[in-house]
Amino acid sequence: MPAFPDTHLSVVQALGGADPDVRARAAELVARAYRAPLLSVLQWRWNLEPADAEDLVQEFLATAFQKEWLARFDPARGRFRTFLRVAADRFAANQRQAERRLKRGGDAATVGLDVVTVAGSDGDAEAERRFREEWVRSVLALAVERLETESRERGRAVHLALFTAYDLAEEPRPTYRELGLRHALGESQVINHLAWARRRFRAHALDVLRTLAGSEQEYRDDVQDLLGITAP
Amino acid sequence: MSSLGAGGIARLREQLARPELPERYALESEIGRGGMGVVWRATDRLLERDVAVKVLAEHLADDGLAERLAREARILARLEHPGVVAVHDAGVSSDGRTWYAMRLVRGRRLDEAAGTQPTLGDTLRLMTRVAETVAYAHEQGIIHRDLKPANVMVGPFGEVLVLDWGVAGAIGGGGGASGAKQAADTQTPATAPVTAHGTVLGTPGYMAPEQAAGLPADVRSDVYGLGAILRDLLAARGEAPPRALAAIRDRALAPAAGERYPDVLAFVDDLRRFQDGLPVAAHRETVLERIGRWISRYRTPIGLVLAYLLVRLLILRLGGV
Repeated sequence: MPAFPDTHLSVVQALGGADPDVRARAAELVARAYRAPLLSVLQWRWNLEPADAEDLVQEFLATAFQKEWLARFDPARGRFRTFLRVAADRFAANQRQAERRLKRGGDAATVGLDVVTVAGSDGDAEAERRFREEWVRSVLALAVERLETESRERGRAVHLALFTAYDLAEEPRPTYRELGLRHALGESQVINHLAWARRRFRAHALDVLRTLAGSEQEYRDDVQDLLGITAP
Repeated sequence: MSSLGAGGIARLREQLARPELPERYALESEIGRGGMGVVWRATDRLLERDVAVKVLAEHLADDGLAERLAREARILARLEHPGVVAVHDAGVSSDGRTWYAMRLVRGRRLDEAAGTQPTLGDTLRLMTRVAETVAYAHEQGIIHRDLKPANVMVGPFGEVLVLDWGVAGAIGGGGGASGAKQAADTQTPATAPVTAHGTVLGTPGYMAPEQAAGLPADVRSDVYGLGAILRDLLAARGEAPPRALAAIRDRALAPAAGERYPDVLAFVDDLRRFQDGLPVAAHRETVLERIGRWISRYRTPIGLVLAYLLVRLLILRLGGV
């Protein structure tokens, strides 16, 4: 996937931009970051089979991008991710309503979404919890992916291998000494390589958060929420 | 996208929550957490050695605690003494957290090590080393104000380190110590330490009454803290201390500052006198106690003389048969 054009440009701004290429890449990033969280919450809320949930999410995202719903997000009214979750939920509700109408022999072409009115929380704590859990996983996975790309480009495959074997592995993990033996490195080199990978991972994670946030305040809130720290 | 397991996610989140220090330091694991910050075991990559890094806890970034942590680093840097941990470096992380790097101390906290000294003499030698460190700080114009067993580390060879100088302050104008003027440049005044919310800093049970009341603290407030440490060490031994030693403890713990030892050196002096079998200032002994102490102090020569006399007596008796 090509890098997002400007790492300090949020997807929300990019989605409403004039350049169709930038819009397309922003849409792709939103889809990659939010597909799993949307799947998780819609499947749970609407009691869907996994394949049906997948179809629904695909349809929602395609419609949202096509009709430029997401570009109408207003940061003053809440978080972008809450906006997206509630929008998808409304979309699913409308879809179900349309299906029922079809079954009764009515007109199916009534699916719509007043996205301007969906900003803010719908008050469903469990939906938010599920959505947030998957969102955190997506953010971390995107940051790891960026670290992988950077490591390849800068010829630091060993750094990445150490990071993967130590920080991403499940217990029991190897010791620094074992990692050093595996890669013909001294323990101090293992420490140094891991320090580089962790530092870069952190930078990428912050960058992903900044890109996905709907506003500077949302970015700061997300950093506090995910990292427990004040955004640098 | 990468498939991340639960362990990987937890570890990545933990990595992200870590303070971002200069590249020189690679944080390894958390080794302690106090009222003001978190202490990490870290590697100094430049000098290739293990260090400890104390970092302000993120949720405490306000409330003037950043300045308190920075001040603690400056105090430690000034107190060059074997009983005070050496500071190597200090700064503010890119995410705004104040930190300082210091020697990695290995050992046990005194509250965990209390009662493990084989003899009363060992306990008192340990207590004396703690008090000598505090006396040195006073000489430098600094009072600790939060002395307690949890703030003392005992090394594998019995060496002691007095930790957590975050509540320390300068001795007031009457301190007269050579370092007092310097201390005033970097320390809080000698008024009782309080948070921005007006909470008195210190530890109940170890804090001198005047400090708990929000009144100015002086060296006698630290005498009280040392008395409280002595109290805990003696209690941990599980045996009633000799009356003279109990009197030393009680004088250090006197509720009125004027009834305590005037300074830590006087407290140390009494501890040493007790260990040497001499009369102590805190206790007026009876004639019987004086005889008992005299016998105890000279028990070896007295034993030798008695043994000699006994042998002589036996020889006389046998010679007479």
